[in-house]
Parts: sequence; structure tokens; C-alpha cells
Amino acid sequence: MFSPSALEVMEMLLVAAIGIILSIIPYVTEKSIIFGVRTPAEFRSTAPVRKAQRTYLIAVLLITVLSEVLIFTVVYRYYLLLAVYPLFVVLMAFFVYLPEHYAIAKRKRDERWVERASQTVTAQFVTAETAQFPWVYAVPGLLVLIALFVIGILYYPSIPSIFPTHFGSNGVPNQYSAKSIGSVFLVGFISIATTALMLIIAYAISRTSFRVDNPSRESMERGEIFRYRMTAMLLLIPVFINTTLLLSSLQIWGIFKPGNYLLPLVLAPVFAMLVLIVVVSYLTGQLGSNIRKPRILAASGNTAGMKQESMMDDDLYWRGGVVYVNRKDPRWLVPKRFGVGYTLNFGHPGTIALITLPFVIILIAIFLH
Amino acid sequence: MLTITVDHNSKEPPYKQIYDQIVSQISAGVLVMDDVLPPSRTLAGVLDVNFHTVNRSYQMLRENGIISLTRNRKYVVTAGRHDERSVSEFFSREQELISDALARGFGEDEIIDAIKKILKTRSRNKKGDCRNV
Repeated sequence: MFSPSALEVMEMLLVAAIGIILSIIPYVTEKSIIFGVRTPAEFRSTAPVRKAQRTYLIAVLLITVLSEVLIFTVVYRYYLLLAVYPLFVVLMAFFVYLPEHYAIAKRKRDERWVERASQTVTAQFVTAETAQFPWVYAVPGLLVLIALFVIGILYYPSIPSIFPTHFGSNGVPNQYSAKSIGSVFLVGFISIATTALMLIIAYAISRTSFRVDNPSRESMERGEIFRYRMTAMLLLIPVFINTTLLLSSLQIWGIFKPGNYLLPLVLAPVFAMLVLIVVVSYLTGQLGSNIRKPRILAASGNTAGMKQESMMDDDLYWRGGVVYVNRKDPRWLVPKRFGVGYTLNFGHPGTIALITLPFVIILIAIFLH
Repeated sequence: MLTITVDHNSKEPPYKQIYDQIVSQISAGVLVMDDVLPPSRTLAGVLDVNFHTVNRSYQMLRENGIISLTRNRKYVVTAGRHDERSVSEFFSREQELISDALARGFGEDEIIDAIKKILKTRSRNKKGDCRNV
């Protein structure tokens, strides 16, 4: 009989989250971006555009459902397939996106949209004084991390010299290790690394300046809320990851014996995190485009009198509408074109280093082995 | 939060637009003394204008004593420290404008009223609109 292991359930959850996030992208990008193409206002909500967005949504959801079936029936047998499958989902969604992107780009060329585009660029710049960093959101994650180490240090003497380090889905150990600081706190060290990484990225995001959709005050307000929420969300992510890692540590140390409840218990925080990401992304939208009512609108009623010009054309910096390459731009993080969040500037020398670094480390590790 | 809009269709050259908006945001209290401005390369990269354009704006801001370059190469808002020059000395720069107004037949009171009106809209716009107010 098929009994799903933690890995398979995690995979199915991950694929579902990725599928949902990818499918709603056309509805959460900046209002002037249609499939990665900067579009003047009068061409945005036309029938063909709406049809393309619907087609994309349905196609990606179908791919997701099909993927879940595949994972449940075939993929779970092969660990390598499980590892690369989420990437495969992203790739398939990209191949649904690409024809739509080129279709819009072709229309833009044929109908000479650029001639009608505005020639203004508006951007928000973070100055030292205005950079707000909501540290408080990092506190829960740090507390869980501290708890992991405090409990670990207190229980260290009572951990046997050979202890289980890996468990099957039924809670029965299937792998053991010799006791050492490295083996007892391996999960703890992973916890430190992920927390540090999230804090660094959150800080970088709170310091990143960006262009906004149009020069209205409403657009500025949306941009500010977006920056704040993205920073806060990244600061919150460690609490979920660290709770999962804390639970696995407690189990390894023999403090916590969940038996058959292991799987739901360990996965619950990860699931909560995925829900948080989907909900915040949808309710915020890229650069705050989906926020129903920014504070400023609530205060002043409307933005009448404010010219809603669009942004100057900047398609040339976006390869395929998704990869940002701009050597003149000193930022290494920029808001995504197709999606909610940030992407790397591939014209920045630091980005190339950042991407090759893991491979270099792996190569060195193999060489030294 | 410093907000800058560059309109390439405008008659004003981009360096002047950037200059004006920084000054306007300092006067509106959006930027205050000791705020650090973004590096000129960041401004140029994000706004998609030439690096020299931004440098020209920053140079002009420095010459007019609105910002200054610190030892660790950061641009800091210094406007507000008006101790070096008295108000009348500052306004002597506008001699030409005032004589022009007088030559057009505006009365002294009218000119003072006009200046007061400008000052009033400024204080009303504090922390408000970031574009050329």
C-alpha cells in the first residue's frame, strides 16, 4: 500500500504552492506590465489581453494538477525526480508564459505603442533616515532559534553516544550517528544559516530603491507598503523554518516522540509559511498593485487631479520580459517584472559571483574529498 | 523616502528636474538635515539617466550649500544650517527677479504678498506631494 513519506507530502505541498503562485502572476504584476511587456494604459484591459491572462491561469493550474497526480503515482519512486520536479513546474509555466510574452511584444512593435508611451520615469529612493527596518518581525524566529540551542545544550549530556538522526514517516529511526557537537547541532546550524540569509535579504530589500508604476502619490504609497510588507514577510519566514527544524531536533534528541503525528507536526509550519507567502503576495501585488485601499486613498477620498501617466519604456533591460540585465544599474536586487518580489540584476558583477559561488564551493568540496 | 520623476519630454533638462525635486522635498520636510542621499550612480541607474546628469544636479546642490559630500563620500543634506549667510545676503541673489517685478509695475506689497502665498502653500504641502510642488 502506498504510504506517503514526509518528502512526498512536502513535495506535493510545494508544487501546489508554486503552481498557485505562478498561475496568479498576471493578476498581481504592476498594472502597466502585461506578460513582461510595459504596456500603455489604453492597451491594458483589452479583450485579447484578458483572454491571454485567463489562458495562462488555466494552463498553469492544469499543469499543477497533472503534476500532483504524477508525483502521487510515479515521481515519488525516484528521489532525483522529486528533487528537480518543482523546477520542472516553473519551467513548464515559463513555456506557457513565453508565447504570450512574445505575442504582446509583437503587437507592441507592430502597433508602435512606444510612440504613445510617456517619457517619464518615477522612482523611490531609500535615504538613510527613511529606511525603516521592522526588526520586531524577526523576534519570533530568533526566539525559536535560541530555544533550539538552549534545549540542546541542556540535554546534551543525556543524549546517547550513538543516536538516531533520520526517521521514517512512521517515526521509526532508520539512520544513526555518533554523538558530537556537529551531529547533535547539525539541524541547529542549518537553522542559523537560513535565519542569517533571510535577515540579510530582508535588510537588502528594505534598502533597495525602485521605479514605481506611475508618478501618482497613490503609486508611491503602494510602493512603500510593498517594500514594508516584503521586508516584514522575509523577517517572519525564519519562525516557520526554525519551528520545523526545532521539532526535528527535539525528535532526534529523543525529547519528543510524536510517533504517527511526526509528519503533520513537522510539516504544519512549512505549510503555514507557504499560505502566508501566497496570501501576502496576492493581497499586496507587485509594487503594491493589488492593495485595495492604500491609506492615502482612504484619507483623501480619491486621487483626482493626479495624472496617471505610465512609465517610460524599459523593455530593453528585460530579456524575455523576466531577466533583468542592466550594467548601468548598481543595484543587485530589483523588483520582479513577472511575479511578486525581487529578482537579481544579471548585469551586476556581484550577481554573477553570487550564482557561481555555490558551484565553486561544491567543486572545491569534491576536489578536497 | 526621496521620490524623483524625470520627464524626458519636459523643456527642463533632466539635471534641473532632479535638482528642483530634491530642493522641493527638502523644503517640504520630506528630506531633513543629515539625511543621506542615494549615491549618484544609484540615482542614475534607477532613473535610467546618464550618470553625469545626476552628478551635475548633485554638483549644483553642493555649490548652493544644500548638500555636502562627507569624508566617506556620502551626500548629506546640510540645508537648514543657514548660519553662514544672512537672509538678506541670500536674497541679494534674487535682485534681478525683484527689479524685474518692480519694472513690470508690481507694487512692493504685491511682491511681499506673493512671497507669503508661496510660503503658505509650502507649509500646507509639508510631507505632501513629492512632485514639483
